[in-house]
Amino acid sequence: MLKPLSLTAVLLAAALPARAVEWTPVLNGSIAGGQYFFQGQRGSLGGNAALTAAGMAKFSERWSVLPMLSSSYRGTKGVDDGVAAGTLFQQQMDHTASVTGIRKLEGSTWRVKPSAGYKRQFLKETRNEAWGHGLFDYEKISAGLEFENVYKEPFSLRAGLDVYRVRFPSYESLESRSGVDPFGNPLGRELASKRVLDTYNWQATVSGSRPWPFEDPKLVLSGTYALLYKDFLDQRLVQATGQFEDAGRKDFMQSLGGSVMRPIPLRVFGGDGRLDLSVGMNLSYNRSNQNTFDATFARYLDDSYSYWTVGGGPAATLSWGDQKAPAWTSASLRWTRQSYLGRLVQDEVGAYGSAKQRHDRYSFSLGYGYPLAPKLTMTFRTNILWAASNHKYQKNYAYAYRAMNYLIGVAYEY
Amino acid sequence: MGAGFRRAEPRNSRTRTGAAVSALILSAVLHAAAANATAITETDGKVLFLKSGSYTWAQVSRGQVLSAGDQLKTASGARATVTFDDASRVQLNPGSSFTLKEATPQASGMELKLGSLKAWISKSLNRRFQVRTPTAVCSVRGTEFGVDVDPGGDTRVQMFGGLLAVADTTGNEVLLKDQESIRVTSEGLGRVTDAGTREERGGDGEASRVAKREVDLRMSKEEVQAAAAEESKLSEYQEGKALIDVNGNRVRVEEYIVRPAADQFKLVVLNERADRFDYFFYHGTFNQALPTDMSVALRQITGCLDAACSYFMTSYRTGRSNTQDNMLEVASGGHLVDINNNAVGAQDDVTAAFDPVTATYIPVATNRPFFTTLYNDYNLTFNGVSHQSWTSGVDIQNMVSGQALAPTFTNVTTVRNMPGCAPPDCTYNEISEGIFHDVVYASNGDGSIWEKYDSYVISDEGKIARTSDFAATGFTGQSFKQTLLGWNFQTIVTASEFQGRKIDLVVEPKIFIQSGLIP
Repeated sequence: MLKPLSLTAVLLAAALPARAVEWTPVLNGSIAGGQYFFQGQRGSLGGNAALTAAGMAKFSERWSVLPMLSSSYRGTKGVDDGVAAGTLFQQQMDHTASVTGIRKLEGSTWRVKPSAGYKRQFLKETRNEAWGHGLFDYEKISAGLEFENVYKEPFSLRAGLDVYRVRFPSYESLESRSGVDPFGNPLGRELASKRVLDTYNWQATVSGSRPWPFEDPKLVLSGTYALLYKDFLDQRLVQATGQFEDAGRKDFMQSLGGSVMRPIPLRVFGGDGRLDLSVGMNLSYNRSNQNTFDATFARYLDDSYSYWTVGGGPAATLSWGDQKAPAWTSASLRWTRQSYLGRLVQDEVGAYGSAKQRHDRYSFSLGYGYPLAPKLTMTFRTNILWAASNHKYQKNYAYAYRAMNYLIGVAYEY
Repeated sequence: MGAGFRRAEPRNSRTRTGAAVSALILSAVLHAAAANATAITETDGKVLFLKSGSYTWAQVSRGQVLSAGDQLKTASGARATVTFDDASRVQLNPGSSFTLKEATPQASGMELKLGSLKAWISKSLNRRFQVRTPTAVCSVRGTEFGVDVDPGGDTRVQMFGGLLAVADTTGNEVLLKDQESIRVTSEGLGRVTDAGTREERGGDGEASRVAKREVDLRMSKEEVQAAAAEESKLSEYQEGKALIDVNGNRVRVEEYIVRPAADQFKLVVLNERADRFDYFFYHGTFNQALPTDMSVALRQITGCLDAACSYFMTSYRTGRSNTQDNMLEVASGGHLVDINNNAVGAQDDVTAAFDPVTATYIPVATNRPFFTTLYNDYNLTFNGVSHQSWTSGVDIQNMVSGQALAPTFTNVTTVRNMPGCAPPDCTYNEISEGIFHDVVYASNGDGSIWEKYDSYVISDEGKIARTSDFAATGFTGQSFKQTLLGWNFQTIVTASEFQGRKIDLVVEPKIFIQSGLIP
């Protein structure tokens, strides 16, 4: 009787033709240094680095497999990151391993792509956190299946389903471990949950891109619609009395996004160049059944995790010089508004108002790339964020502020 | 009937077995034939086939044997691979029009009218391999090359390895070596140039492009999934569950209310650091059952203006602990007193009251009724040892020692002030040094029983508040207290009973204000 491993080997050998595998490596790497500024405070100089190594193993015209390893380190905070405790001191490390199979369907332009992946993120936000023991470290295990119709290179239609579990190994609610007070009475509530951040996620996505007009394209249109069902494994619902009920939290998020891109050939510095203009928008709606109870004010807030998000903005990239290694400069502007359905505003000292929370974020980015050698580009990027909100209580988390960062480095792409 | 069926069964079984064996043999024969002939070995997408002599194009699939004169067309996005009997193969790229001209042991010839192909040619001394386009003829022995033909017939030939002879329609010929390319038009041969980088060489470049595209798609998917994890984290921050203490260490904070009985509530604040767990609780019993919206009752704990509170506490237990040591306060006999109109005049009057609705302090005029709860019995203990207590047999009306209807106080420890003592075991602050650090020290006469409260006003990032942060409001009065609400309190309690250990809590000041622990 064949052992499972032997059986797998036999099946693999039967499925794959005898001829040699064609191997196409992909290697992307970047390293940069920079600083983060928040409301006039300056973070120390930090560095970012990223490396992605992948290889497309083509077993036949039908079957290819793409294993990928990706690691990144970030010591300079991004302006889009939330600003809470640990604003200026933050180090983050990501490691991801994934494998994607690509099966071309005979007689069509359809491809089926099963995939699986594992990711571990490490985060150090305070002096006493060590790598691997950060409070908000998480791991993600994912599997997915995608159907793609590459009807006209590089344009395609895609539909996929992804399932992934996110687990925060260091994070358990304190309440679930609170024990009893000196009088022997419980400190925690009944039904107190333990692993309140862990989730199972099911995501269905449909996306596509097409040239317009089809035969003589002037524009590139692209769009995405996604449904995300987020099931919190151990987070019970909060009642109006501040106590828990048996039912668990579930979020259901829908997202719609689209963009129009217009490439314009032009002369730059006496040579051929290209200007890519684009404008994009996105709309998302998160529906959650969870509520909150603010113990400090003994205030119950119904439906406090449901929200709308709308955003959009233009972007432009100008490239010139050698087509294989052009110099480029880019600029983009983006506005995003998040409007909560049930979360009430608070004033500077926390007193509740009647309006619902609304947060606006305006971000502006500039970039420049200069080819130093084939595949090696010097890069400079700066990002500026202006955040505004009608929610004035910012003791725990900043909603209205200005932040900026810059990064100078090199990027390698093979 | 049954016997007949039984007799028939072996015969039918043999027939099926025979048919299967025949099919297997036939398949093997056909496969062998295909293996020794020029055939289509891979298709992807819409690939049309026109048999020589026929007028009807049909979709073709893998295994189709090709003969001289047969034609193939690949649609947009489609590909096909033709393999010859010597294992040479040609990959037709999307939008190509191809005709097999010759397929013999001595020569393989084909014509590419439009589109592009890439060819891998087996080395053979006796065999000629030729690709014709409207403007060029490529002749080769053992090499790897690509041919592109545009709609006008212009041809670009790129060499990846070996030698390739390229001729135009007038008979001019040039030899391409490794990594060279040439453009051939109706006007003849162009200049031989460098074939360029791997990316622009067709086959491998395309594979690289596809691989990069898949990597980009995978990275995009990772970003989307990471956003879901990020959102879970941010909601914890937004609820103030992760702070940094004065030493730069992470403090996790959870605050919630438990309802042990209909007339009781219990406010709990938990703190966790890497190496310790501390908590605060305030367990109160009211004069009546609490409503669903507890804020109606809780906002009356600090007192009521003008009219008596409908909800007031009759007893409470509050404490702090590091799970080993504890500091407990127990009070009972709670009753309402109009503190601004009692018998002791203005000595115990309330001049500013905290309004929990607006989280602001509001001024209270002299003799304006202000009802607050006084407790007849109270005891403050550290690990069970009493440091301060009072008691009364009747409902007390004031807390002024020595006055009528005041309780009898038993103060084991009393607050020690300079110059009778000196820091660190003394009551002092560092306001004059510009830092909000306050120490209260109390002890008995010989110092054998003592308690110490070491308090900092800190931001969520653990930064100690500086006096300059309060410059606009001053350091006393209503506006000072108001500004304090925007900060956290970190209080470290030590006592003679703790044997060097401490209780170290970070809480929002509102917690202590609402609990009546900060007047």
